[in-house]
Amino acid sequence: MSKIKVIILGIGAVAAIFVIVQFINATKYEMVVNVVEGENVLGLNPTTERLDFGDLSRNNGIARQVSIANGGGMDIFVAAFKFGELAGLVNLDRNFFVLKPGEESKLSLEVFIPPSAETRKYDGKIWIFRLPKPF
Amino acid sequence: MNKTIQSILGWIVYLALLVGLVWGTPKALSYVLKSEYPMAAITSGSMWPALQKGDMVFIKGIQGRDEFEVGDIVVYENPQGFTIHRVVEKLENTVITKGDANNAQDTPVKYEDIIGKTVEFRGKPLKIPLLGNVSIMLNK
Repeated sequence: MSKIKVIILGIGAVAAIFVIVQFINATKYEMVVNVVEGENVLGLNPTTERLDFGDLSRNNGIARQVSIANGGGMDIFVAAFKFGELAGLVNLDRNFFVLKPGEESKLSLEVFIPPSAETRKYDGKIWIFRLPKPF
Repeated sequence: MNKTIQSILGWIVYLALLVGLVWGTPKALSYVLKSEYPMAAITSGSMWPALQKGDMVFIKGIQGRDEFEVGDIVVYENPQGFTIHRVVEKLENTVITKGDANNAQDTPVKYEDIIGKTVEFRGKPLKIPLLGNVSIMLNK
């Protein structure tokens, strides 16, 4: 195998490991909301292991926050990605931002139930990546 | 030498196919769907859950008022750009539309402002999820 191929393979392997580590290190939350009949119905279920927006009736919304801290010595780039059925109903107050060392920030996730929602449970996921930003 | 020429020719054919696809696909869709705007990105959640932000939908051109019905999702032009909402009522001179996720109906739309309707497959709008995000990002 030529030297160039070895170098390319090495770079590829390091990049692959970096990507895998970032996926493993990402904070992953399950999101869930239960759409119920009625007006102004709001029942919060405060669990920490998942973002449970509780019971909500149509035309109602609620926000929950997650804390993100940078405990390292290097800037980190925060990026959040939503998936699933609930992703379309959840809005983030900010995304794709930088946290300096020792800095802490709160990410607010607001869910709003439109009139077209059915009365049932909707779920989704949010993955928050913290990528090192050396420059 | 032959290998080099073969490699260059291969790249030329590959690039020609790529350019053909990028340039030709919208042209072909425009011809087939009889629409000046054959594809559109969904930029808001007003049609949730039928259409979600970031979806790419296909638009079929409309020539007359009989080519769409109540319940169809249509595209109409307004001073802000284009809106993709569902027809809830057809009146004599105007059409009433509403986003599925909105509480209120839109301002009545003139028939001539409606430029197309979404292509449907098995009763649902044909869409490519997330692809519209590319268009949204490029327009920012």
